[in-house]
Amino acid sequence: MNILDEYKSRISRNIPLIADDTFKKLLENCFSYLTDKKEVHNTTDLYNSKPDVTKEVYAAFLAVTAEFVRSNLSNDEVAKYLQDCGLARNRIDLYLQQFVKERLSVEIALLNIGNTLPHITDVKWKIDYIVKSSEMDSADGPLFRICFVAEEFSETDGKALRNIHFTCNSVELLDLIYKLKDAVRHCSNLTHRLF
Amino acid sequence: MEEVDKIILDSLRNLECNIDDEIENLKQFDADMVTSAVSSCLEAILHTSFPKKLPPSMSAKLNLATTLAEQIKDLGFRGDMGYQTILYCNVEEVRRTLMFLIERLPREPIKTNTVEQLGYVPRIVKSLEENIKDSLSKTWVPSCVLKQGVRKTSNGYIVNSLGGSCSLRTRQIEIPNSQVQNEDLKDYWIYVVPDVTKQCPASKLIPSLLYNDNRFPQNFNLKHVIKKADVLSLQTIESDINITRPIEVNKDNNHNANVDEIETEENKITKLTAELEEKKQKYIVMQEKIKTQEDLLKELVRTKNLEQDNLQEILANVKLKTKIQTVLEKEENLAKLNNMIAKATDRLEELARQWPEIQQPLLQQYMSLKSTLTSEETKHQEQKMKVENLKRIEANLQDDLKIKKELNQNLRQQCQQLNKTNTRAMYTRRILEIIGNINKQNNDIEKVLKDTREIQKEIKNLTGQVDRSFTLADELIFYDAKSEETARRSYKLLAFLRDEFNLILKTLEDLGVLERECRNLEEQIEMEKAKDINIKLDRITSDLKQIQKETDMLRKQSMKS
Repeated sequence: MNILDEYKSRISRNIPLIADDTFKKLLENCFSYLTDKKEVHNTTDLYNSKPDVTKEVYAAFLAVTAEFVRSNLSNDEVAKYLQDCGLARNRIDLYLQQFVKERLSVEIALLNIGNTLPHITDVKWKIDYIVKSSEMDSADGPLFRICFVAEEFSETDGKALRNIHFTCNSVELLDLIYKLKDAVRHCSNLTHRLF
Repeated sequence: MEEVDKIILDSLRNLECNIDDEIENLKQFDADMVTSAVSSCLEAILHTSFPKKLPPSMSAKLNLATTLAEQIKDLGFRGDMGYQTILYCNVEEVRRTLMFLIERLPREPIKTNTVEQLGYVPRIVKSLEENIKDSLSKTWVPSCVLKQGVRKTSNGYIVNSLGGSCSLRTRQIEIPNSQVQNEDLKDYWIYVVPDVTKQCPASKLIPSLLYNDNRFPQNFNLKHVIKKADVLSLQTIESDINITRPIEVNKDNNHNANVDEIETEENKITKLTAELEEKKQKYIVMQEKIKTQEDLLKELVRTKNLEQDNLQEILANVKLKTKIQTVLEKEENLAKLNNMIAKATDRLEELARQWPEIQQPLLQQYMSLKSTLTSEETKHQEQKMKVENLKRIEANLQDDLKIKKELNQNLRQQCQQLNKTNTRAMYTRRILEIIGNINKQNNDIEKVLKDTREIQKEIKNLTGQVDRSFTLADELIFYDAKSEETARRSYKLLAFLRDEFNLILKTLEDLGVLERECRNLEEQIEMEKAKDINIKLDRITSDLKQIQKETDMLRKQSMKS
């Protein structure tokens, strides 16, 4: 079932029970939580006599706003949906004003959901040369010990750094460098008008 | 000249320099407007910015005007050009300079409508290109400084690092539902359930709200799924066992000594399994018997319960009847009871009589209320219908609005294009008119030339006639002069006459030449007058004085400071 259809009845049932002031604060909370993960106002102050209604409307607006951005609705379509939900004109305007302002930020927040490869931010390296070891008498050449420092999401503390270690010989390293250069060339080919 | 003025004004308006619509020819131009026109033309030609308004101070004015004049000269303007042309405008000069500048305006680049690629893939490739271009043109910023690893730019955003992105995993979220009417559940929602934002970590809220991958559908049969899973695991285990058996057999071949033992064991096992089977069947039969017996028992218990109930009822009845009999045995009681019955019947009758009286108004009220209710309901229905109608109309209107907006935009574009073509047509029309005028004037000039030629011919004829008549008279008189004295005298007089006439003709010609010279000189005087050298000189001297004043002031200021 479509999220928007699901929440339409919920909003239309509960929106008349919410005062203008509370509505405004709820909206501010909603947008700041979607973009910054923080709440401007304390939600328990907004409950008044109907905590369940406030909670439901708050959840509905969070979900609906995320869905608007996810399905890339135009401002007119958003206004129409809210009108169908039975919002008054001034409330719709209030919502749209915030929505237009924060749309890009919400989009970025949505962008940050999903599995991605770790993002390499730094590289540490050293060159080893094995003169002799218990397993072999002579080495082919230097060994490159490389460590990529990468950003990765971790459940405990959000963005965390992770070290990716590997060792290679000079041929493999050259191969890697050629691959990287290939990628750079491909990018500049795509934007050949720039160069 | 008006045509030229119109063309100049038109092209100036195209250059977006502020010219009022009221101005129709160059005579209405003042110094400010001339400067703005000239500087906007120069801007369009040289692509450098010039101030469009004259500054208040005289020296600054002069500076600006001289720079503008120099620029115009550099462009190759032949003619009188200095700061005075711009500051003290003269219609002719302004017209000439503006015409010169407008001729040198760069042609408008032909706007080609870029054909929009409609495909999905080309659009994505284009946006990719733009994004890469953006990110290559911007300076690099370490991702630890950026919020959520994304940079906002004027047209969108550049993704730098999505290292902080949380995988799409959802949590079960409790949202109060006002549709459910259950007091206990409501209490739970009011007092226990926290806000959705506090039910899960912030990074998981959006996915949890949008996707319910951990919520089972309502007709979901958990047992069924678990059974399926059991069957699957059993099958896999059995298949594993099947694989291991042959290996064991192989091993056994190596140890022949143990074969007999194993066979006996196997025989035993088969016997035991057979016994087991038998016992199993016996067990099943017994179980069935037990079941039937249990059923019987249950039925018997039920019948026994029923009969006990019956018995209790009968006992209660018997008790009541014995009590009644003991009461009825005394006659007093009977009489009392009869009395009471009679009273009760009387009371009942009275109540029955009273009832219609009370019932009538209540019934009427009820009926009226019912009727009003139905009428209100119908009204309500009507209004509902109206509202729905209005909503539908609104949706239609909005659609219309959208379509019309698009139409408006299209039409506006078309209008602009049309305007462009219109101006072109206008220009050609004007050019044709001008050519027609020139042709007419050419004709006039040719007519005048013909006239002058005719007059010249006439003059030549007349002079020839005069010469011929003189020579004729000369010959006649000369012939007579040999014989007569008077004729000789007349011949002398004739020669004198001829000289005199020649003199007159010469003076006439001289007069003509002088007249022409006179006219030329007059024209020259007019031209000089038009240049207003006196006024210009006055102006220049006043300018000089003002500048001197300003420099003095500046000097004083510098001295003071």
